[in-house]
Amino acid sequence: MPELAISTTAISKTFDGKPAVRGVSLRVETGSVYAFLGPNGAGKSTTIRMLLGLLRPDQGDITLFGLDPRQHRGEILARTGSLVESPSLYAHLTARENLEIPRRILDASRSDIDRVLKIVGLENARESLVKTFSLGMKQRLGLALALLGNRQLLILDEPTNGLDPAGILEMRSLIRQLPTEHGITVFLSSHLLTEVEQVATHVGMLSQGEMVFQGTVSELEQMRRPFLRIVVSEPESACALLTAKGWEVRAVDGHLVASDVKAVAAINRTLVQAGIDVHHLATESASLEEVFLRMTRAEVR
Amino acid sequence: MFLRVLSTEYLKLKRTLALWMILVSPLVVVLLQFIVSYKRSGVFLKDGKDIWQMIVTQTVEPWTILLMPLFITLETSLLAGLENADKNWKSLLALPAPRWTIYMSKLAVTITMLLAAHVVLVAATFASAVLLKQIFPGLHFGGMPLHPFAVPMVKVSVAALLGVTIQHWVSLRWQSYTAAMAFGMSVMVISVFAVQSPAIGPWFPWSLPMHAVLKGAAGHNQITLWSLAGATLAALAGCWEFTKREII
Ligand SMILES: Nc1ncnc2c1ncn2[C@@H]1O[C@H](COP(=O)(O)OP(=O)(O)OP(=O)(O)O)[C@@H](O)[C@H]1O
Ligand SMILES: [Mg+2]
Repeated sequence: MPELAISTTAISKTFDGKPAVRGVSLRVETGSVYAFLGPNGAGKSTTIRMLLGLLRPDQGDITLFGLDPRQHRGEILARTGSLVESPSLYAHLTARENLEIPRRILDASRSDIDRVLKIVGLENARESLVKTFSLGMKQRLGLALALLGNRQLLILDEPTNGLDPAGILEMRSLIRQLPTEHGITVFLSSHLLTEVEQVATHVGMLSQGEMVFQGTVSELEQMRRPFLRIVVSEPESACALLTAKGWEVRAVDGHLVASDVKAVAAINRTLVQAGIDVHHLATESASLEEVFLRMTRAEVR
Repeated sequence: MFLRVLSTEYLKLKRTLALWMILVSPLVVVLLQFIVSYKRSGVFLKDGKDIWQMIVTQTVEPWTILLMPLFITLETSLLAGLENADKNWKSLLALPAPRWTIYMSKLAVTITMLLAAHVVLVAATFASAVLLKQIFPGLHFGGMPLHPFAVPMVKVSVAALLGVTIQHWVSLRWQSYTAAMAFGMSVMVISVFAVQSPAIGPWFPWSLPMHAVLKGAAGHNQITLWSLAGATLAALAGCWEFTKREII
């Protein structure tokens, strides 16, 4: 059984009678990059704040590194770095002074400040005031803060929020190197699957406060249902004909989409025999993004 | 851990307005006092009376009634503003420092700033008196003893603690600059009226410093005791609330 960096048992949180998180059970394996996905308002930030002890769950238990936060808060937080939404920085202090604050609390060595500044590529901005920083630099400094000391787990809430495409790429390559080069488990949230599918090893999907999928990226790949895309001369009559024969067919943008991929030859034969020209007939798969949308939208009641 | 957290709180003051206010606020009072003393020096020259006592009164009273309440409100609000500005609570409280160390460090910083302002006030007043002596060598300063100045300043410092502790909690509780300022201003106005009531004056937290230096007021020990006991209770209660608080 793999060791778990984060494990929760059916945690729930309600704000003013409105449930924000409902029975979420996370299993984040040590050494993984876990993408925590969900549309706006799904409850990602609420869950993350509970993991960090900023909010108390109404129900359920949380364990980090196998430890109970109610008894081992200090040890857990010394091993867990976080960047929640926008980075929290003191604008009137320099990059080094901003790092000096957690350095003293974590009792890390002075050289550690240079180490993390180097990882995020800010070694030249060491003595600059943070109020002169661009958003991208602030986000990188936020990551440096989270890496300071001996952190074994990083909890990042939308770390690419507000970054331009170049900044997003940079942040992604930084995150990708963390487990391999520094042995750090990464738990990051996003509302875009495309943003994390290249870095994640595991995926958890949240919709309206509930987990709708949790597993490896390859398990998610298997959810990509293949389908047939058919382009014909007379879509309406073709659709009626195929439906009458018992196949599940829908018209989408003047194309036909059939779910039974094994019936490709039979469908083709039926259409040709009925005198309908078939211009295109091929098996396609849904993109991961479509799978994500289908799963999170299915929850909308 | 407490000392490490405390050192980070002092680090955060670097380049802040809050730090400058420690110098500016007392100097405003000393400047006003100097203008008054300068204008009245003619009278004191003529009848040869001791001007030092008047200088002390001209310093202690405006400071206690007006500038100190403003100073406390402003400093606690600015200090809280450091964390509220970039929503820094979520990262500060996700560090392994116990929450009580953060609450108590911030309180310690506020009290240190008040004491530092008092040191500046005393030093600048002495400097202004030396300057006045240079201008009017005939003025009589009664040897400028520290005693009639230091005693009321110590009393004011202790009597202010209860109000400081409550204001500290208020500024951290409502993460809004205006709420904390409004609260501080309101209690300041109320305290001016409360101090005149023999029943409420010695109990209303923000009237205590004024009461402590009021001429002929009785029960100084009672005020000191109430301020110290009340401040301890308020600090513990505020700290308890802070450790239970949810950060949203
Ligand atoms: N402090 C709060 N008070 C009341 N309701 C809240 C509070 N914080 C969050 N909520 C509600 O809880 C739900 C989940 O919010 P949360 O911020 O966790 O979502 P999210 O997945 O992080 O969304 P986003 O992608 O927009 O950041 C939302 O419906 C939100 O309105
Ligand atoms: Mg969020």
